[in-house]
Order: sequence, then C-alpha cells, then structure tokens
Amino acid sequence: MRINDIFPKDIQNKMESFQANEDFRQEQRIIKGKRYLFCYFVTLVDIANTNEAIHLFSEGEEDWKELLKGQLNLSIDLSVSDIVDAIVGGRIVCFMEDGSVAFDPVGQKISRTISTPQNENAIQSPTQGFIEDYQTNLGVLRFQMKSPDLIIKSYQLGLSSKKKIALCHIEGAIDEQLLSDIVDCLSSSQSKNANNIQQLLKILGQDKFSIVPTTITTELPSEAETHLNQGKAVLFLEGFPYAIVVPALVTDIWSIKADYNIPYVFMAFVRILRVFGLTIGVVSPGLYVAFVSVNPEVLRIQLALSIAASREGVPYPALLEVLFLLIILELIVEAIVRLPKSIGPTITMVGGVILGQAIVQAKLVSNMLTIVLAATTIANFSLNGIQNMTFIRISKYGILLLSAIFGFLGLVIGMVILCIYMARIEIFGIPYFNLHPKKGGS
Amino acid sequence: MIGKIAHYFTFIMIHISLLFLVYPENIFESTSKGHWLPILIGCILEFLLLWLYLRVLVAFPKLDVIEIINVTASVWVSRVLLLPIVFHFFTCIILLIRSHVEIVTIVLCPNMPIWVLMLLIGISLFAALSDISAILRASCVVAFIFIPVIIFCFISSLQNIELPNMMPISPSNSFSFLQSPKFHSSFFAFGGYLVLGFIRPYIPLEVPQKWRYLQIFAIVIVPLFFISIYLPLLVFGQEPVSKYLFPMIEAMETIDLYWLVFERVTIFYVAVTLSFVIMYISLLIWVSSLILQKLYLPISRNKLAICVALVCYVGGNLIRSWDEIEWLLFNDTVIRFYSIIAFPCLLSLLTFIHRRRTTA
Repeated sequence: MRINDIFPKDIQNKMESFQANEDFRQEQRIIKGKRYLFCYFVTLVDIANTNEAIHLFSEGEEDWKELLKGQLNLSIDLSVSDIVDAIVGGRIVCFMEDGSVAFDPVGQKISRTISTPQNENAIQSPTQGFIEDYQTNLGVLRFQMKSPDLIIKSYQLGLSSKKKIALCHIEGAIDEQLLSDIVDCLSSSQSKNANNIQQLLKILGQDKFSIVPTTITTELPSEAETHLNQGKAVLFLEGFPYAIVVPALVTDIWSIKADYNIPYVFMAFVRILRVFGLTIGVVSPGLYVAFVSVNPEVLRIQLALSIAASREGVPYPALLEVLFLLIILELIVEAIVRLPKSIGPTITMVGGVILGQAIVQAKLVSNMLTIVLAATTIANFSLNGIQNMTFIRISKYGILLLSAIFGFLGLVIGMVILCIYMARIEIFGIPYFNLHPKKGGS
Repeated sequence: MIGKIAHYFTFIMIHISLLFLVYPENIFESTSKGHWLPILIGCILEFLLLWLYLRVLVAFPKLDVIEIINVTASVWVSRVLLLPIVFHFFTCIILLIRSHVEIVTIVLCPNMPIWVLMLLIGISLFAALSDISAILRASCVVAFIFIPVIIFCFISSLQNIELPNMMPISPSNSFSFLQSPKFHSSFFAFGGYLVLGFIRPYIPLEVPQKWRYLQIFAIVIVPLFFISIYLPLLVFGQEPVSKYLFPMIEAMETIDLYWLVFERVTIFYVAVTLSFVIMYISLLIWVSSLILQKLYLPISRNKLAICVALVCYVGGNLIRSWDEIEWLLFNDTVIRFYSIIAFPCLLSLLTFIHRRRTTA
C-alpha cells in the first residue's frame, strides 16, 4: 500500500508540493491495528516530546481521538485549506481511513525567552518585555493584569500568510463606540494582509499621510497595562514584539506610564522637562533662523553681536546653514540606529567630535548653530516613543521654513498651524488633543 | 479635560484678539479724562447683552440662533435678521486681519508686501475647513500656549507705570464721549459674544455654564478691558497717549528688562495677538459659512468657507491705508450696533412672543 493512498483526492496535489520541502515529514504508524499518517514540519514540531504525549494519552484507549480532543486542541472534519493552514501553522495533521484531524504538538523552541526590552528602557519599573511569540505576549499581559475584566479577542487576517491579531481591552474602561469601531475594522478585513504596522494602520482606517502618530507601540507590559486601564485598546500582531496601543493621544508625547513608579513631584518634574524638550525640539532651529536672518533687532545688542561674530565667514544664509547641519545630524541618528553596538561609538566620535569641530573651524557653520542644533537633538530625544520623536523631528522643518520667510512671526504662525493640524486629528472619533480616550468633542 | 473648558478659553481669546488694537485708540480719542466710565459703560452693556443672549440660548437646548429664529418666527425672518450679522462678521474679519497685518508690517516685517501677509487668512481657512470642535480645540491650545506670553508682557510693562498719570480720575460731566464717533467705533471690541450663539449645539451650554460665562466675563475679560486702557495711560499719561495710533504697542516698546535676552518684547506681543486673531477669524469664517449655508446658499459649507475667505482676502487687499481701516470702522457702526445691541434684544423679544403664543 502506498503512503499517498490515505490522502483524500483533493489534498494530494498540495501534499506533493509540501514534499518538496526538506523539513516536511510524513510518518506512517500502526496503532492498535489502525493506520495513521502524521504530516508536519519537523522545524516547527518537537516530535520526540510530542510522541511521548501521544503515547501517554493513547495507552489503553481504543480510540484516542476522543481523548485527545480536549487535551491537544484537536480539530476534526478539516477542509483542504484547514489542513494547509494547520501544517503551515506548526500543527500535526493526522490522516486516517475515516478522515483527518489536526492537533497541537509540543512546539520547537523558536522564540526567545522573555527578557528585558531591547528598545525601551524603564527606570525603576518592571523590566519584562514583550517577545515575538503571540501566545506568550498574551500570557505576559494576563500575568501582569490579573484582572477578570481583561477581554482578549483574536482575529486572523491575511490571504497568503495568515497572521493572528489580538484585541485586548478592559471591560468598562474602554469607550464602547471606540471598541465597536475597532472590532468593525478588524472583522471586515479578513482578506487583507497585516504583515507590518503600515498595513495594520490601513486596516484600522488611519490616514496614510498623517505625520502625527495615531498609534503608539510599547514593549513593556506595565505600560500596556496602564494604557488599558486608561481605556485604550491594545493590539498584538503575531510575530511583532510590541503592543500597539490605539488611540495615541497628545499626552503620550511627554507622559510615560512608568512615571507613576516615582514620587509625584519627581514625576511632575520630569514631565515638565519633557514638555520643555518638546518646545525646544520644535522651536529652536526656527528661532535661530528668525533671530539671525530676519529679526536680529529683537535680541539684546551684545547677544546679537556675538552671534554675528560667530557667523563671520559663513558664506551662506542662516536657513541653508541650519538645513545643512540638520541633515547631517539626522543622518547620524539614522546611521547609528541600525549599526551594531560595537561600531556605534565610532560614528558618535566621527560625527560628533571630528565633524562638529572641523565644520566650525572650516567656517561652514557657526559655533552658535552647533550649540542650538545639539540642544534641539537632545531635547528631541527626551520625548516618549520613537514615533513621537519622529513627528517632532519632521514638524520642526515646517516651522524652520516659515521662520526663514516671516521671522519670529513665521515661528508663531508655524506653531498655530501645527496646533490646528493636531486639533483636526481624530482617531476613531477620539480627538488627538483629548486628555482621556473618551469620545465627545469640545 | 479639554472638551469642557475649550470654549471658555476660546471666549477669552476672542476678546483678547478684539480689544488690544483699535479699542485703546478709540477710547483715548473719545475722552480725555475719567476713562473708566466709557470702559465701564461698554462692559456693563456687553454683560447685560451676554446675559440676555445666553438666556435665550439656554432656553432652547441644542438649537443654534438660526434654528431658534426658525422655530420662533420663520425662515424668512431669520434670513432678514441674520443678513446684517453676516455683514458684520465679514467686516470683522476684514478689519481684524487688515489692521493686524498693518501692525505686523510696522513692527515685524517691514519689507513684506501686504498681499503676502494677508495670506494669513489661509491659515484661518485651514482651520475653518474642519469641524467646529477642532477649531475650539486648536483655539484652546493656542490660548494655553500664548496667554502666558501676554501675561508676561503685561507684568513686565508694569515697571514703567506711574500712578499719577491716572489723574484726573473724575469723568467729564457732560458725557460728551457718548456722541463721539470714536466711542461708537470702540464697540467693535464688544461683539465677541455673538459667535457663541452659532456654535451653541457643539458646546455644553446649560444654566451653570451660562453663569460661568458671566463670571468669566466679569473676572477675566473686564479687567482686560481696563488693562488695555490703563496700561498705556499709566505709562505715558493722557497727553502723549492720545497722539499714538497704537498706544498698547507703544507701551510694550518701553519694556526694557536687563535680565532678558530680548530687546523688544513688542514682537512677542504682536505675534501672539496675531495668533489669537487667526483663531478668531477661523471661527468667524466657520460661523459665516454656516449661516450662508443654512439660510441662503444650500451648498457644501467648505466651499462657502473658501468663498468667505476669498472675499475677505480681496476686501482686505482693497484697503490701502490705516485711514481706510478707520473709515470702514466708522461706517460699519450702524450694522455693528444692530448686531451687538439690537439683535440680542430682537432675539429675546421673539422668544418672549413665542412663549406667550405657545402657553396661551
């Protein structure tokens, strides 16, 4: 008897294409006189341990199918696409003379263990981080919350590669309308791919060209917990080691939930510092250009003279000077992000020390500007979340251009435009400027 | 929470944008002593009108002024009654943007052509094209960021005041200022409350909020009116101050703080007031386009808002000098008095008749 005899006709082609894979296994076994054919990917299944489990259950049982049902998440009466999904998803499919079943095996250890977050440092707060494994993340969240009100719903999106998305919220804390809007978006997009955050944002119906981050990501379960308690929804995308919090609000720029682990006054202090950082990050390049090139009369005469002296020999207008150095700074930031930790300091030295010193000595930019832009960059990175930082990084260019044209007036106009732009943004009907994720306008 | 306080901030901001430019000059030209009397008359009048207006609004929950007139009278009555109001809003927009552009060319950007600066109306349009709640939120945040700057300017200009300049404190016996056209022009600063009636369905406005508005007017806005007159008066005295075209700006120019890195505080003051004006104009464009859409031209509100902004942009560019601004301010008096004084009275009369009819 050939192995393939046991496959139903419609699945045979699919199985033959699987057989081309080096890690695909078909194993025939006779248990209690019955013939079974197990199909699985050996890279996803720890077969030795799984066998042990199967034996444990099947001992002394005529039909172990019944027993497995409750124990190993057994699914029966599978269609062709179910079988394919199960095998690709790391389950074992077992073909018998009277049908096929799929069950969860003992999996290979593919994901890393729970460890400290890679990109988010928290001082004096729990340091567990989310990891790539979807189930583990949900487990970590449950462990952190210990609340009966935490509701987790799961969705499977995608055509070619199916990804699970978990929607978590706290019953009673979340705005009902917000929840039903998110649920509508997710349940009506079963056939759309969600392989990255951009695709997920598209599924959630967010504006593609918005420069304000409409969701925030966090790697810390304690952050996710506070967001949930505030009434936001948290999404987990399979294979993505972050919690995606919807909606983002303006307060998320300067408030980190770990702040609640330090005394109130200290929290107020660091938050005020971050608001200062926000202001300096947005305003200071524009302020420099405005005061140097358009409204020098505003400055006290001694200061105006010292700035003018430092710009002596710089051959081009202040706007170009600022843009020139700003772009180099942005490139340094961008270069360091992806470099291994062992090479990063080299860039710091070349970019910061050598370039910074030489560029001033070569009279390409003024001393004052290096100070201003260094302050801008530092202030920029005092904010919470990489997306918020990028938002501020982008918006300062608009203000810079307006300041170069209209001077100090341009700076104020730029801030007004930024305020209007941010005020127009609503995420699932919740204004970005709200302090709490509740519906209802001004 | 921002949603509950945004409209109060907007209310304060509206008055700040109205009262620091032409109001002081008008008052200084209309009387030479006892300035508190014309200010007080204006303030009491606005307080009473605000009270009357809010009373009508609170009596009709969830309805704006247009719908209130539709309910109590008819659509045609509201078309007739609101036409001057629309004109008033148009002249308000033109006067506000044009006069502030004039200041900006004097203080900030002397080389910038007027038509370029008039493009600032585009920012108001940008806001007016969105929801009213977005305008309120933006106004609130703008007020929140920039009101401290204004307060700083006031406090720092206190260093130059001399109290004897306040004299003579007793008003002139003849009440001659009541006939002065400049005094009539000064009522331009008291029309800020009209907007509330049109944004009413979008803001929480019940009896407690009504009293809160009156409190805010009495505690915050009335002192601002007094500051706008007495600050320049105390710095310069009556004789020089009546010669200045922009007494408040001149008062700001006197500030000299040795610990501050900035030589001119005026620049902050002008830029910040301009930002308030931009937000108030966006509100005015929104309201005008709403009235036009509901009563005269039933097309999309965004198109109407663009038209309103365009008309005001062209209208503003037609004004060539400060004299023409004052001419417009003077000739607008009839419509202004209708909008600010007669309209709330008519509105409450209509509701009164409506009440009588429905209860009878």
